[in-house]
Amino acid sequence: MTAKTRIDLRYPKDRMLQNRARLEAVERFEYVDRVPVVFGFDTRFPLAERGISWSEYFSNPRVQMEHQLRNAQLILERTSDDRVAWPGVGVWPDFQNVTNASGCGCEIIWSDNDPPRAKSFLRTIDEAVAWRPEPMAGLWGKRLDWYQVMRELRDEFEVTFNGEPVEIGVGLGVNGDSPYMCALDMAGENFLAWLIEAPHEMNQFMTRITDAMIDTEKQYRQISGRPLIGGFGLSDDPVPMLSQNQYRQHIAPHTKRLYDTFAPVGQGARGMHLCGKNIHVLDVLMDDLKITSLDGYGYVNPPEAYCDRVAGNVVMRGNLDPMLLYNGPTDAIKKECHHIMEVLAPYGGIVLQDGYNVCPHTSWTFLDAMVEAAEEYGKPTLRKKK
Amino acid sequence: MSLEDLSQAIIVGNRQKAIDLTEKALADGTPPPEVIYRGLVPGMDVVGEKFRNNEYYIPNVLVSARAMSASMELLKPLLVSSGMKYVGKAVIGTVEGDLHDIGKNLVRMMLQGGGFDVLDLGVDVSPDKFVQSVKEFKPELIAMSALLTTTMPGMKKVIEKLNDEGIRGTVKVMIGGAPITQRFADQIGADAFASDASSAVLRAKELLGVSS
Repeated sequence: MTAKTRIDLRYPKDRMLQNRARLEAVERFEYVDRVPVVFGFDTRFPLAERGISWSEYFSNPRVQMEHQLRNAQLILERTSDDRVAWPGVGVWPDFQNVTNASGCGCEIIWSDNDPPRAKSFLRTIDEAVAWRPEPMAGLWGKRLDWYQVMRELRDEFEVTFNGEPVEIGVGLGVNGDSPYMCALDMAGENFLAWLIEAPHEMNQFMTRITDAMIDTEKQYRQISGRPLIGGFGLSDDPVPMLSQNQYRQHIAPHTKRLYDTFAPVGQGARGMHLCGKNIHVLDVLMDDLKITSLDGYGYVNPPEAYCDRVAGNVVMRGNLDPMLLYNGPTDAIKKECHHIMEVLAPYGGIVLQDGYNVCPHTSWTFLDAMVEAAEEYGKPTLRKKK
Repeated sequence: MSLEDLSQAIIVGNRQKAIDLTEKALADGTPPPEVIYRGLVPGMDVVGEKFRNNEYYIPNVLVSARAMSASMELLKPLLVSSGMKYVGKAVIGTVEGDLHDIGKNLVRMMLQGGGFDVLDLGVDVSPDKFVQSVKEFKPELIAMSALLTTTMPGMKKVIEKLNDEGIRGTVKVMIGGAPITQRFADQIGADAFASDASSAVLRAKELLGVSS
């Protein structure tokens, strides 16, 4: 019998409780002692820190699972932010942001040193009209396969948290890349032109992509025992390319259908990640989509622009420039953090984060500066509700 | 029929009409450079202005640029013999490690619509390839695009490579892409930052001292 792989995660319990209090308070639009800070770590940062190539990470479920656990260990034991609120650790079959595109038929380009990319394949409107999804196609099916393998592999690991055994959670769900992002992956810039040239056909095309995502997510939830309703996070990242009307007319109805299926209003979080320019669609986000959080929103948007409609109404995580975080210096990072907090923290519901996400090889000293800035700023005084 | 009609076809992004009007203009004996500078360029100028004013977004600009490109395809074979003079030569590409091309393609088409002769190096372009293109194509301008914060440092590498090869002074460097800022452009020593495809044309003309 093979010896189990042992991973002991260490994190001070009092700090964890403090983090939990901060993060729970922010959901109530309150603060305990300061603005919470959560760095935007994606897989690429810890992989780079540990010198692991993307090709190795994707090589098989056993290898990926161990790298995810080691990544979690690295972050948990080094980070100065407030992310660790509960004892535990999770893994998931991870193919980055191309999973939905692959499920919809895109060929995936893999490389040693970069995350995978999807290759567009629809060249004409007729091809888009003729396209039909296949159940559990591409990486959607592979994700399910790996999920089942990862569940079985849990027996090969012994994970402890401060010496206490913890169960490894295994996640299964579609990626947050929206039908709009899928359509762009599938058809490239053609899709944008077709929105004008063939709006009716593109609406049908988007409907089929959305159907495929809903069907897949429903199956994932059923298989993994998750309730059908209970929160959904999405990204319509390429929204800067569209006008408010184009977004409202062509894209938002499909995004809304996903939210309405898995997180009807009042029955779950409706998270939205938009790291590009998004000020022009804030009305759509608030009125049509009724989001409950804006996550990793981009540094290209001035904090002041959110005061009127968004701040104080939804939880906001952002929006420090990742390149400023990468290049420093510390004083400039702190100055920008102070600016974000001065403008937005009085509304409540603010989590200081980069917008978005942390570049590989960003210095821990620069990351720590964000936490130092939050501590220097202290507990924000909440303004009176509008 | 007038070249104003061609401009209008470009502005509304009517590709077939742009083709028809271009063919008609040529059949009527209008010199190709005149079709470009009195038909296509004014049309794209309006498109650029509408884009800057947030009246047009990318889908609108794309259909216009595609109409312009379709017209250009008819004109290209005739330009050499007509003695056409471009306002400048530019090399464009998305930097190494980055496969995004929508923004880059848009800037290419807008530059072409602005009268530039553009060599498109495609996506995932190494610093070596950028430098080689400067040596061979001899552009006045390099335009680099990146959509990922992880690939932005590739822009700096290109500038460093141009310096190492002693040809930095022969070419202006303009950068753009969703995560790019003026601050980043200043940090890496780029000559200009363009926040969108329309302003890219204006910045390019400013850099080269060409009147808009």
